[in-house]
Amino acid sequence: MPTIYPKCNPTEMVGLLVLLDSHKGSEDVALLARDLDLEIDEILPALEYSEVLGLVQVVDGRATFSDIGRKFVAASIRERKALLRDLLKRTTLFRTLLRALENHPDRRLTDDELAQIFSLTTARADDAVQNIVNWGRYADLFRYDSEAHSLIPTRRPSAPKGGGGRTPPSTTPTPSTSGSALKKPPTGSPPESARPAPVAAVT
Amino acid sequence: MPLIQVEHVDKSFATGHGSISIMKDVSFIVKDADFLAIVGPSGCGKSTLLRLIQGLDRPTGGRIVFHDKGVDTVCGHMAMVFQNFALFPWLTVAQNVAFGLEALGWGKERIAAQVERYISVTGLDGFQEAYPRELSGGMRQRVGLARALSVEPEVLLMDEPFSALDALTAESLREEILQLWRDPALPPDAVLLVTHNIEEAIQLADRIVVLSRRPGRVLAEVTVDLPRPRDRKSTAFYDLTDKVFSLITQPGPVSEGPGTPEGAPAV
Amino acid sequence: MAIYVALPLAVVVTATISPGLSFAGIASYLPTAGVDVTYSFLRMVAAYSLSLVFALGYGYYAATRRTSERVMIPVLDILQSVPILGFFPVVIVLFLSLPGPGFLGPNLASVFLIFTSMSWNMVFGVYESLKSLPTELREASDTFGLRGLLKFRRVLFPATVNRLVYNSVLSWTGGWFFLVEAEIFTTNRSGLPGIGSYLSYAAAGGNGAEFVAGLFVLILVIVALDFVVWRPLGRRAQRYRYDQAPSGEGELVSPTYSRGRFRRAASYVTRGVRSGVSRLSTPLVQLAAIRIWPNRRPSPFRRTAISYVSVGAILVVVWLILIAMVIAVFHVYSGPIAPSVQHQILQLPEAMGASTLRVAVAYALCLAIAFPLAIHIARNRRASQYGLPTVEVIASFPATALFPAIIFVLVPYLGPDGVAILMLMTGMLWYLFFNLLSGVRSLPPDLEEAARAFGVRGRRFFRRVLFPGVFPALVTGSITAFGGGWNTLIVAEYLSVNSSHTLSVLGLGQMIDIGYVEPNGIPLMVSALLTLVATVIAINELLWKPLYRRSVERFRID
Repeated sequence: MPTIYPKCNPTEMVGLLVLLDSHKGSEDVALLARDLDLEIDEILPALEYSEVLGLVQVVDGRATFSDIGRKFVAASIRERKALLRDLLKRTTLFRTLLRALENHPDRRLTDDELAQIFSLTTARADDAVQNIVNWGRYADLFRYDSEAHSLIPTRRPSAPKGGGGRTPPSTTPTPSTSGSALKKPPTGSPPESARPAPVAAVT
Repeated sequence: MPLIQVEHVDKSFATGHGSISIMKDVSFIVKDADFLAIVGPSGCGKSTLLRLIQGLDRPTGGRIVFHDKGVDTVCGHMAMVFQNFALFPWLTVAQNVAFGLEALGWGKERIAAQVERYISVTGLDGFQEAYPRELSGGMRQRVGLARALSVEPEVLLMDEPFSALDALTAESLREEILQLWRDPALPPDAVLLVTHNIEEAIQLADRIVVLSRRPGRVLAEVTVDLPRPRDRKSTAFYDLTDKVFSLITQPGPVSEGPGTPEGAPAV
Repeated sequence: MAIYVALPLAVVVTATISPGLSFAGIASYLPTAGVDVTYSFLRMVAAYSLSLVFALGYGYYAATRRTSERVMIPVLDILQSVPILGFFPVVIVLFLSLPGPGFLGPNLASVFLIFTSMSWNMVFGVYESLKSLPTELREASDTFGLRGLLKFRRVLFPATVNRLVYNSVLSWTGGWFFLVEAEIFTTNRSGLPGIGSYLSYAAAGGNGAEFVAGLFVLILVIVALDFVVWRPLGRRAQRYRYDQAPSGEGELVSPTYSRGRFRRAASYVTRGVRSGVSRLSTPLVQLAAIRIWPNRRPSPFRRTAISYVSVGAILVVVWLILIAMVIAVFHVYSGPIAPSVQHQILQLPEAMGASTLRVAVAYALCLAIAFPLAIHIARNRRASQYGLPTVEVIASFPATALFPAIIFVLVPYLGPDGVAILMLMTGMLWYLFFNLLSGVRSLPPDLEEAARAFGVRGRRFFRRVLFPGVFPALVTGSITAFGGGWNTLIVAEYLSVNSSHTLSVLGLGQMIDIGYVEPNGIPLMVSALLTLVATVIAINELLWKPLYRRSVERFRID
């Protein structure tokens, strides 16, 4: 999840996907925006996130579902969460984060440590951190202790509760035809994708 | 056997200068498995109507019948979802969801299991210990929804539930409500939705009760028999929107009385 | 945080540096001081617990029953604008006449009095937070059928927590002040063992080490309470706010909570000012107006004049009647009034003038200090960072504890009137300061920018921008400052440490005290008290209320 993108929460992205679905899965971005009486830049953040996660492809100003995207929008609320969990886990950002969380001696990451990992400048750090936390929480990748302002691991071990796919990072839950989009954030990715997982940077 | 019968309901409020009539002679029926929307211009009393149906307030004339019995106190088989979410800031998500169950006197374990179930169903997993102020608007409304569903009501009453949300979030939640309503394993049986957004009403509901300007009267009951999922851009959809819109905006009797009456009920 | 440690230490250090005092000497008195402070503390706890229960009950009833509300709130409004402490001697006499062990009377009296000082603002806190419970939350709790204890636990009580914590801190500050004052007052008479009397004895014996030990222990207790109870409570209470309001009203007990303390006090006293006696007099005014000008409506000026005159007249008449009644009652029960007492009763108007003058002078001096200080701290970051915490800590300390010493040290220099005024100032300064501070701070920055852009600076800036902007806060602060002043009168005007060190200046406070002290002095005491109450109400109605109205109409920035 590139942190340079503007704030958007998971519900908004889902809303965009639902919207696209009502346009039969493929539509001009401009028309999508118009449908909800929005400006294009109001749906751009959600669109970018859905692209990065490989749910949607945007070509020539036209947005189209990928297979995963179609599956996502047809799934139940619970299934969507599980899917999202898998998708997020494939991004460098969340992989790094989860590893840092596991390897931390206290098994928790404060907001500041988080900001440090991705060398977020103080100007946008709070927003960006909140955003990341929001997504991770929604996808049930970790929990958040609001008193101590830090990430903590989820209650359950790696295996999720009923209603989702298996999670061990090595296996892919579904055969995906457009695999390339899922591996790493494509163009426009922030510097950190080039760096190795900075586990040492946590402390 | 209809679930709810609204029979010739009048409602007026007393003010310093006399009384204001909010609603006059409103009648309609809510059947099992209905998704009913109530639309109308602002001030037409649709939100008040919802509260009369729940039993939070009493009609000045006429009556409301639920399953054969008159509604004269708060009906426990209905639950409401509020426009501004109405979450208690000092309770966690889990505690907010458990709110109605505690009042029913359930045991701790039973409550915990029920809460877990509905938190999971509404996609709130992972937020159990969060406080409302940490949540986005969409998440907060989900909590409101989970709270209402957890008491397993027969009728879900929704008072402009999406109007405090941004467009994309509202889109997402509308779809989720439909998912939940259509799942036979989940409550509720029927949904009563109050909204000022005509498109939203047509998108979600099977029947629309159109109220007039104050004093609110039933102008028409419009049936929506478009197949789901509904295509907002289809001609049929557009025609319906047009129809409802012109019903609402047609010139009618001038409303009387100044502004909204105050007099919030005592705590 | 450092302040907390610094203050007690500073006291001890300066004390040991002074000649004639030694660390060991001071230490030797600590145990007795500790015991006495404990007595005082227990009284505070008792009064507070009563206040809490009372506030929750009364506030809840007033907020939920329309009919009760119409009676309960105005009653409270009027009661709380009356200076409580003036009643103390009367209350003691009453309690003393009850059967039971000797120590019960004064203790009950003091607890009762502190209770009354604490409970008003707590009741209002509960009342206002329940009334302002968002409609949707009320509806949500009704929808799900919440009732009784569950409703109290989940909805009603949490809604009041915010305000209660705020107001509790406020109550305790005022409570300490009055308790010490009350204990000092009873030192040689009915004996309330406590830190007040302890300090009094120490000063009477000229024993510096003893006195300092007492101060030290008192400071320690106050600081410890703050640290162990109020701050953690304040932090936890954050959870109970409704919004993430960035700061200001939404924020509860931040590190600078005490600022809010005095503002809160102000809002409650101004309530009393706002309603009050003229509610009664309005129909009379209308009646009078119709009588005098039956054919046309009198001009606003005439109407104001009439209302002033009528209010004044009503008060004078009522006052005379009450005093006559008191005298008559006393006459009936205990025989004719001693001539000396009679003579003193006749001096009441003069006493009233003297007291009012003193309070006014004290006020002016406080203003001269508070205003520049507030401006400086509000606009200067460094001053704010260091100065403010210091001021806050100092303000939470009951200045009455120092009174016995003040008499010794300062009377030769300032004279009895001067010392009286100084003591009055201690009870008035903080109200004024914190309100002004908040007023200056809440001046919208864009107003200032606009002024600067037009080259408005210095004196003109003060006259055209700052002063009008701060005016409402100034009025509010002044109202409460005066309230504090009235309450301090009975120790400021008459304080007898021992037979050779007695401060006595002509005034209403003094008369109340003398009436209490002298045999057969009860009619004097009661009449003086009535006069005090009448004076306060008169000034409220004739001065503060119009000023307040003016400040709200013309000067409020919305």
